[in-house]
Amino acid sequence: MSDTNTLVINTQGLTKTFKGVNALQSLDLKVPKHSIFGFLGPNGAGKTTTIKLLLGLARPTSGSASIFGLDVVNDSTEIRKRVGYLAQDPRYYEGMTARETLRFTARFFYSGPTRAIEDRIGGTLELVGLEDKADRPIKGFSGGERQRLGIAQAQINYPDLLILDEPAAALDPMGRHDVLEVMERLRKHTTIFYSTHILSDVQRVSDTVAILKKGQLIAQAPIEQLLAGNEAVTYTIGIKGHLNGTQARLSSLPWVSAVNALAGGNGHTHWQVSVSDEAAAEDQLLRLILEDGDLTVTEFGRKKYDLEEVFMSIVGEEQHVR
Amino acid sequence: MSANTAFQPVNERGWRRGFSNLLRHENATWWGTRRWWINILIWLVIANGTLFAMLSTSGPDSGVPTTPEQRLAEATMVFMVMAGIFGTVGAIISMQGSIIDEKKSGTAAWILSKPASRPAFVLAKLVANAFALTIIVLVVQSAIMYVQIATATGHGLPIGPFVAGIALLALHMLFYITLTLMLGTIFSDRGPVVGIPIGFLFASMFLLGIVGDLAYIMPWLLVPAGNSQGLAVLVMLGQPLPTIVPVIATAVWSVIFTGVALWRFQRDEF
Repeated sequence: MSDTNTLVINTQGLTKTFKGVNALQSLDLKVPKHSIFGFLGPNGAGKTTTIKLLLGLARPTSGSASIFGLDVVNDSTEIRKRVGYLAQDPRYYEGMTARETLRFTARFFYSGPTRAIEDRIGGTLELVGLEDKADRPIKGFSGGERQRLGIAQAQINYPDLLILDEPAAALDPMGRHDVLEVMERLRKHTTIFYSTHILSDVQRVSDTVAILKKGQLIAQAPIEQLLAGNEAVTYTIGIKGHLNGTQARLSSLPWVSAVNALAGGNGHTHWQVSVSDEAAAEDQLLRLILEDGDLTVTEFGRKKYDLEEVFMSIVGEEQHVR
Repeated sequence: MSANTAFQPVNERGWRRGFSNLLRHENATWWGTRRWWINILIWLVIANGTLFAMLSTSGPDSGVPTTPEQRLAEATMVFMVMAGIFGTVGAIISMQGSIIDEKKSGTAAWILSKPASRPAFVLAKLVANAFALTIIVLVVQSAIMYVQIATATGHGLPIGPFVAGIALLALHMLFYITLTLMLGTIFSDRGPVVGIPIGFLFASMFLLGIVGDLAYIMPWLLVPAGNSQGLAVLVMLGQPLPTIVPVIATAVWSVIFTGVALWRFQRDEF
């Protein structure tokens, strides 16, 4: 299949310079269809700049970008017909109610019939849990309510692509939970491209991740691949009982590269065994440990990294290289 | 919820994309709120209130010997100054934040993330504000002025010249509305956006005698300024126009300002 069929967003060498400062440097980003794509990076990494370039709110200094195979500079209006966008700090006309805001937004896409538009607005308000506040002016809304209204207006046209800029950054844990839940509900209908610096949110809902730092893309991969780590395969093993030289025996195996014992209590020990041959480890590692009859294995599994570890490792590596 | 196939898509294309929705919104900011009648009351006091005071103190009972024609000319002049000059100041003040406020607050970026063209955004503001200000400051007030003058002097102004005079006032106001709109796309602070047009408007009081023939390509000659009675007054009183050049020049300037506003806004980043 061609890139146009499989990729929703495709950028090539996308660069943006503000007064001589590189906000974005030669970004090559590929967002697959039907993914929840987490666009990760510290503040000032260039996430919002990228989003503005994609939406035609800013012009690239060099490079190109396409959405649905359409050029973001020349075909911006056509692209925006199929996109929903939530800004980092969403602003609306404060005197309007939530329903009026959604009506105003819907009229950029649909001219009628009025009944269908009103039904869509009602359904969208329900989706984001604002049906009881639908007819109140926005100026009285809390941060969480504004964010939910933001998601509502972004998806009023059932977009093929939702672009959310830090959708949960300003929210308390409950608000964040609500927003992530709405995103999960929408994932079956649309591709979601969202920027954030909250790693736990990304790990919870994303299937693909890109990490941006100081305007440069430093990693892009499916989240499972990223969480598996790029170092040697490591197993974590919980052991209870007398060790009797098991650690030394394992260390002498040709496919074991390291055995690290971690502190435990009440006769428990935790090992991290790094291996160079995954197949041999799967086949023999547990059996070899159990050969020692005085031991009980309380835990055995391949070590999973969390996104924070991966992020810090990648960002740290980058810093070290420079 | 209904699927997208249940809807009629908006079929505006090119620069018109989003225009009708934006125009409806801009119109609602005038006619869907108290703003329209509050402004009518304000301009009633300023334009017709002043005219009423003048007519009350210059009638046959006032002891000041004047002919009905003199009173008519004087009353027309007073209205032209109040509605034509101070009305224009009001229009500039009304327009000053129309672009800047939306750029600063982020609502412009929000709207432009939807399928709406940038020309539609600017033109909707121009059309809605120019229409509302013309109706509120000029049409409604001049209708009341017409009745006032007819009642006080016993002579109604001839309708044709009267309408032509108001049309010249509207053109004068349009010049300043488009100038303010253009400055709103260039600057990011209100100061120059409101200061430059008002400064230019009042500069006519001092500069009209100095600039010579340049005055013919300015809007200054349309309304009373300095020693000039103003083309709008002459037209309204049924006198022949000494020149049409300022009328054409003002119209051309308004088109140029609108063009620059569209060009500048097209290049803006949000």
